[in-house]
Amino acid sequence: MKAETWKEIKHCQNINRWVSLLFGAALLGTLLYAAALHAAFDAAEYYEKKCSSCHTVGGGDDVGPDLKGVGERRSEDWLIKMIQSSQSMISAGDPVATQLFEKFKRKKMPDHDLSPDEVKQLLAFIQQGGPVEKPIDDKPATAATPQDIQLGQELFLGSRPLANGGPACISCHSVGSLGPLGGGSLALDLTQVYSRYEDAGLSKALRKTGFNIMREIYVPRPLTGEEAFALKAFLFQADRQGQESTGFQKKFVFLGVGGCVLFLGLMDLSWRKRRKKTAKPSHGGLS
Amino acid sequence: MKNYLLFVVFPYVAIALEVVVSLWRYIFRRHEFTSLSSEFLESKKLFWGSVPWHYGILAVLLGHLIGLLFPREVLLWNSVPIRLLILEVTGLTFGLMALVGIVLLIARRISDPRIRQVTSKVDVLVLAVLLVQVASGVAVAIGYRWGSSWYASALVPYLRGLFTFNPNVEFIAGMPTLVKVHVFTAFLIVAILPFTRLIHFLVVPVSYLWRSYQIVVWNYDRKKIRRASN
Amino acid sequence: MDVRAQVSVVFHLDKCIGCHTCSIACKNVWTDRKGAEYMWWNNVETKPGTGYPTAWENQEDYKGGWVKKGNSIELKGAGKLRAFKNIFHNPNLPTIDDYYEPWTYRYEDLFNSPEGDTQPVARPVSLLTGKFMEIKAGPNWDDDLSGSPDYARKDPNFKNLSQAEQEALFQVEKLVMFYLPRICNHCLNPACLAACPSGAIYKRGEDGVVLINQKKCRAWRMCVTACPYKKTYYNWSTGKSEKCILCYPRLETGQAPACMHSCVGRIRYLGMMLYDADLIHQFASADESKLLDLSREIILDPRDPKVIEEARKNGIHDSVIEYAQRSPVYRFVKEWGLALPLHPEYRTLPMLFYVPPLLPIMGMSEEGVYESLTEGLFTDIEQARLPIQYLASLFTAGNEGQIREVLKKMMAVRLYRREETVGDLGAEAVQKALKETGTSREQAEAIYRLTSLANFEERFVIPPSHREEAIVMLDTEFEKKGTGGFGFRMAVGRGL
Ligand code: SF4
Ligand code: SF4
Repeated sequence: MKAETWKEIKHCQNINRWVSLLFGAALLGTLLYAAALHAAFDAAEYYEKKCSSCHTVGGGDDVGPDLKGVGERRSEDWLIKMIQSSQSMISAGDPVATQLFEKFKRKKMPDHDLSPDEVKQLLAFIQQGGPVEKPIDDKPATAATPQDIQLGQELFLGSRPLANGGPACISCHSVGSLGPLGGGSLALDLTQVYSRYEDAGLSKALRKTGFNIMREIYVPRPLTGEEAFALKAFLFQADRQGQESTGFQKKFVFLGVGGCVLFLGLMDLSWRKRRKKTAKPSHGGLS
Repeated sequence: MKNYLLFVVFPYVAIALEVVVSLWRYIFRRHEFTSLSSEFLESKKLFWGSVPWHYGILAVLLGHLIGLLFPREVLLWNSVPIRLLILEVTGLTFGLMALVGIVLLIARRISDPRIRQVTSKVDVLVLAVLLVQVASGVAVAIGYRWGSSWYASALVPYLRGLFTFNPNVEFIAGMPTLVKVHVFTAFLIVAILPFTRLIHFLVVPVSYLWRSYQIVVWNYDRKKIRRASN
Repeated sequence: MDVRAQVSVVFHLDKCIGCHTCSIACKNVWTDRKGAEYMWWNNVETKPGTGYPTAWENQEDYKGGWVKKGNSIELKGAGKLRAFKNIFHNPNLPTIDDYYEPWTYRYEDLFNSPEGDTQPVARPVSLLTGKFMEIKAGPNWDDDLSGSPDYARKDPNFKNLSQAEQEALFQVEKLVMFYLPRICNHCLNPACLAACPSGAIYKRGEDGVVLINQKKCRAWRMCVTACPYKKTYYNWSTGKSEKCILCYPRLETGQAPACMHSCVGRIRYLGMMLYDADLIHQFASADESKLLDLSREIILDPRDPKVIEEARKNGIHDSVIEYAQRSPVYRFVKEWGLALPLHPEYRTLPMLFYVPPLLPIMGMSEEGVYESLTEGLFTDIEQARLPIQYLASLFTAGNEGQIREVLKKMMAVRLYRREETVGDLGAEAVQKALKETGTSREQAEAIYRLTSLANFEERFVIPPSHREEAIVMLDTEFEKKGTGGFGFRMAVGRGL
């Protein structure tokens, strides 16, 4: 740009015109970009990502019910609502939904942010027989040796890194037997996960890690079969021992508040010579 | 789609706003770049608000930045429980300091008639948003332990995705509402930053550290002029 | 040698009548705005007194100026690392209560009040909050020694006076006071500038005026603390600091600054001086006892051919050199050594100099008869009501000898004039007085003329500022054409 032009812009009283132009361009750009990013809905991919860790199509009940023939069993309308938000169906008192919820040990199905049209595509995919599945045949946890359990614990805690570089479970999960600090409380406490998911379900959950965030983290860095087994063994043992992790929350808050008070005290000390009153005699200064 | 709008589209809009409007203001309205300090009108209460607020929030921001840049190292550090505890308690300490600070600053703005005179509507917005942000952050830290770990493993990939133009909203979609609020408000702050007094954050005078103590400015190159006319 | 030019100023305190015309002139021109109401870029304070802001000389409280550290100096209450530590809350910042809460009156009530039994009054209204207020302080609250028990007795310059000496000052028969008008000193080693984290403050190369760039100021407030004279003021409304600009737009058009132009007592002199910028750091870091001498020594003789050559090499215009040679300030400060900087111990090398007051004419009344105490020629000075130590604390960093020298010289001029007009002292006595103070008759005459008779042109010797050259240097000379003379003006704002 020539210096004159630049100066003209700078001195232009009508700067708003330039700004709105720039601004509009930026906004349009981001919107276009965003639209391009939001790719078309792919039912197969969605099923793989979101459904397959809890459901099968023709493979029998798993964490959730077998979906084979679900289109015949339930009305399309019901399915759309159920898939979009199962919990609101239950709280609305829908008898079928409640019954299923009870049957599957009150495990909540996550909400799916899908349009009715997208649900229909998904249902059509299931209707056609769903994905081609390889069954997972891990050994049952009862066959684990103490070494397996030990390994599982180390993996869970992160003292031994996961082979493919995934973060340790403790970041988000806690387990009863973990000592005073416990693990993360972002996600479920896993103390009883073994009895809730049962052996095969847990294996699948560990290998396919289908819950939103876990999937994103572990699909690029999956657990190896050995790791999954060791973790399952560890969780099995935790389940046997039973007690939920002790709440460390109170102590944590207490420490934080303590630290905060300490810092405020240090602050006061470090600036103890700050001016605390004015010099005006009328305001009590100059004495 | 909602998540998509809030956590992919909005962040980009926010960043675009931040960059474009800040630059615009810096070029055309530089006079408005100021921290609008009100210490001159009221100093005693400000001390207990401003100092913990700024030190707290800067430490917390630094923590977030470290997590963003070195997530693996953070996880490695956290693999020993006592180290995890140190990190988390430090984070909570500074978070609480920021919370105490912002609450006191708000109280000061409300209670002091002089300070109310220099409070604009935008200031109210800024304080409200910051309060939500810090309060939700502290609540997340307490309610969803251990933030440093799952931030590094579950949220950092989302943020990195944003910066590498490969955003993945799934990381956010499964997060608890409180975390979503925290993330959204963070980008809201980015979006409103250039419209508010927060721009003072963009002009931290670091160059003071190496500039010489005295500055002399000539209106014109005097030596050149003299040479030309002589 | 790095020769630079500096506009500098002399205030002759003997002539100040404390009328505050200067303050009002300045206020009307520059600081009659929201957020600036409390600013008195020019203020006139009564001494002994605490001044404005209250007790500004108490650096233990305000932490202004430089302090010596090893062979160098550092800012007392600001500085690089300290600025970052204190940027969120400056622990040494004066607040508006150290100045006063600005107010106006509800004048309309005088006209609009309904008929009633009582006189309508115009109640004071705060310019901060807009609410009715009770006035508890003002810019000249201790004017003419008012409120002495609270104010004048707390004058920080009393610190070296004994209790008895202080008491004596407040005996009705011995009461004494003088006025001290103050503006920014446009220092050679400005503390305000050094303390500014954003680098908004700068010294103009051409004339040394110290200015705050309003576009760069970010309200970090360090300059307010750092200036030991409290001559940068924080505008609480715009979030920018402001200070005396020495009316540079007037200077550039050859006019004296508003305060000087309007000065009723004609106490003010303004002129160019040349100084050696290479010596600033060394001189500012010197021992306290040498500071006064060095702050004179840094000023160069504009007639010295070597200085002239260096000045020209440095791009200083011939006209500036020529005006520096005629500068009344140079005569007061260097040639005659009569003008002294205010508080040289703050180490900012102030470029505003004061001729100390030779007040009052000594005497006392005994049983109704006024008795002059003049015995020896200079005994008056020793028995002055105002202790020498007090003036020394103001102008010579506590060195009484240097103050005495100046006062004696002024006394000698006075005796010389008395001999000229009254003729009762005898030529010999006058000759002795002049000799003792190293003053020639010509010099005495010159001092007398410049002090008492100087007209406008002699008091204000303002060189052309050669703005035309600045404009030539711009990329487009015609840029300003058609923009109403001011170009693009930006409204003051507190954000959107
Ligand atoms: S008197 Fe104060 S404001 Fe003026 S130049 Fe000196 S330090 Fe700066
Ligand atoms: S106008 Fe002159 S005489 Fe009057 S107070 Fe100001 S400096 Fe003194």
